[in-house]
Amino acid sequence: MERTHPIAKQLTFGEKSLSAIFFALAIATAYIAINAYSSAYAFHASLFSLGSIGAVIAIFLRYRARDAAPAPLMIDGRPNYNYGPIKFASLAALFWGVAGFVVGLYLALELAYPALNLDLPWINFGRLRPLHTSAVIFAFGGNVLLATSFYVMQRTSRARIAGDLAPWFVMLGYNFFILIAGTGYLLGVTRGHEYAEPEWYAILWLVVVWVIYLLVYLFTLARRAEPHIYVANWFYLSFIVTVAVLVLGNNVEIPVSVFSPKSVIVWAGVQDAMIQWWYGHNAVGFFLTAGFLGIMYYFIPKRTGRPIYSYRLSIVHFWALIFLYIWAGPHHLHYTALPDWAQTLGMVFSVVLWMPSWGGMINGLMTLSGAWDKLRTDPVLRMLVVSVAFYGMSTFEGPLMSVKAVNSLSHYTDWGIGHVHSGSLGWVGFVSFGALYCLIPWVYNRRLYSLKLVNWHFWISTIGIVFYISSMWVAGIMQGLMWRAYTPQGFLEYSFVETTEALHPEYVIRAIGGGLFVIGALIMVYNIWRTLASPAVEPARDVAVSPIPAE
Amino acid sequence: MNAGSAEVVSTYESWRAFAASWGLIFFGLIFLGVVVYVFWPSRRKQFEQDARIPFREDDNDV
Repeated sequence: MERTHPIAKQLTFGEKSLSAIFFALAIATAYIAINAYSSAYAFHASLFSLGSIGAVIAIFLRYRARDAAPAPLMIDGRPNYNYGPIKFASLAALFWGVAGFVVGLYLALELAYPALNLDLPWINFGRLRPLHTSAVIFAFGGNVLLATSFYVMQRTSRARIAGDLAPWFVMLGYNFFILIAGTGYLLGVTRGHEYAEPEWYAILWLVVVWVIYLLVYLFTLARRAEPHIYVANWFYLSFIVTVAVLVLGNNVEIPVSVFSPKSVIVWAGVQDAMIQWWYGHNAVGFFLTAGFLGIMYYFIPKRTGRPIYSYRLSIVHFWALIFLYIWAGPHHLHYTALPDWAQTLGMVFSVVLWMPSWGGMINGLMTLSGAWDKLRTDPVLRMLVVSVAFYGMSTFEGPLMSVKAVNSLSHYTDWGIGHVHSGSLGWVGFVSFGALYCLIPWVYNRRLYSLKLVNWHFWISTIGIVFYISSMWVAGIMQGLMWRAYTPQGFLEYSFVETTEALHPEYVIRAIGGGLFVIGALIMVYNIWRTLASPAVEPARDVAVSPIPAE
Repeated sequence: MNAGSAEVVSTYESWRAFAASWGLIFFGLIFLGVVVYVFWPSRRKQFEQDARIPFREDDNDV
């Protein structure tokens, strides 16, 4: 290397401008905190202010610790991958995962034993429930997607991630959004839109983070050494772009005041409901499906050591999913004020969606053809493969439930909850666990502490899921049938309270299932902790092995 | 019904009719184009190579 003249260390343009922006934000939000209309909002504005000051300090400390020259893109002809933000997000995913699962378990117990809300406003079902959904979907799932996408974009491009501060801004900024959203729910700050509860200022912040995320992705792809963009990247990109469109579309709202957390959406009634479920279902389609399919298309081939069964099928899978998913939302509004044709449209597209979903499932599963024995020996791969099986199951159940006749029984019942959890615990949870069991040892240069513990995690969680979804099927169908039961005189046979009482045994079984899932996750945390505590294996990758001096 | 609301209905109706006819054909043709592109026989080799991208990085793997 020609580094005879040491470069004088200087603040980069990014470091200067970002710290200036954060400094200004710290002052502005402090002013807002002082003049805020409500204490919850004052708390959030103070968090923004403290966070901004923290960011300025972090930028300065990082500057003091770093080398004068920017990190090289290549070291000895090999990409100098940036794993720091990936390490952060994968550990954050574990933390939020356990937190979200525990809150879910507590909610399950509250439903079985309502006295458990202790008459406290902060932990009643209405406030705790969005905390659970956001913690598992956006905090756990989101950090898994951030970690794996930052890894896959670099590795399949064979290039270092674009940006110096930007990847860290995305990671920390996203987790700060989670913190604002989650504490807001407990304090009663909510828009009252399912899966879209965060208020305008949290959304504003998220949009900034998200645009930077997209730019980091695109600029990394732009410097790729590989001419073709591997299909996993397409899925990640569609996830990023669509989530941006969805969040902007569903948050066209006017804040009451800059000093108030409250905002008013510009449309109301059935339009609001339509947009909300266009958002809601595509959050499932593009956050919980497309993004995690990106994981499937990279990690299953990597773990089996075989390329994806059919690359061409993966492209058709991608486009079919993109073309169809966006129309399926109205099936959440069957038999409502939504125009009938829109309901039918949502139903038809949901049923057609079955085909690309199963195409993708077959593609993932058949990747193992000729290597099925690995399922017996490698519990991590088993987790990934069973996740794809759950993907197939819930994408079969979903179209079935979207059919109006079925929906008239299933809607508003616990069948829906069961369906969502077969997708979220089985598909999203397992594919995330499998990916993290691969990713964390890779980026930390460690050997996974114990495959035996992975095996325990797998079986305990699987049994937990079976408890969960089968009890909810029984509960949902029973509930639906009790709601529509008439006496010979034409009166409703059961009062609402009677249906709730009848559900108690199923609710207890559900809580047992959730408890098993939490135990599985805790086993994982122990396993990862022991992995990180173990000595690093001799890294053949990312290390300058050649002692040959530069010419 | 005043003139204003009649206009709203006709805007709605025309958008709906457009989406259900030309919009559907447009997206259908794009999708068909994708399928033809993907399954064109001469591209088979290229796609088989692209499927191996996750392993190409492995020359510097553990």
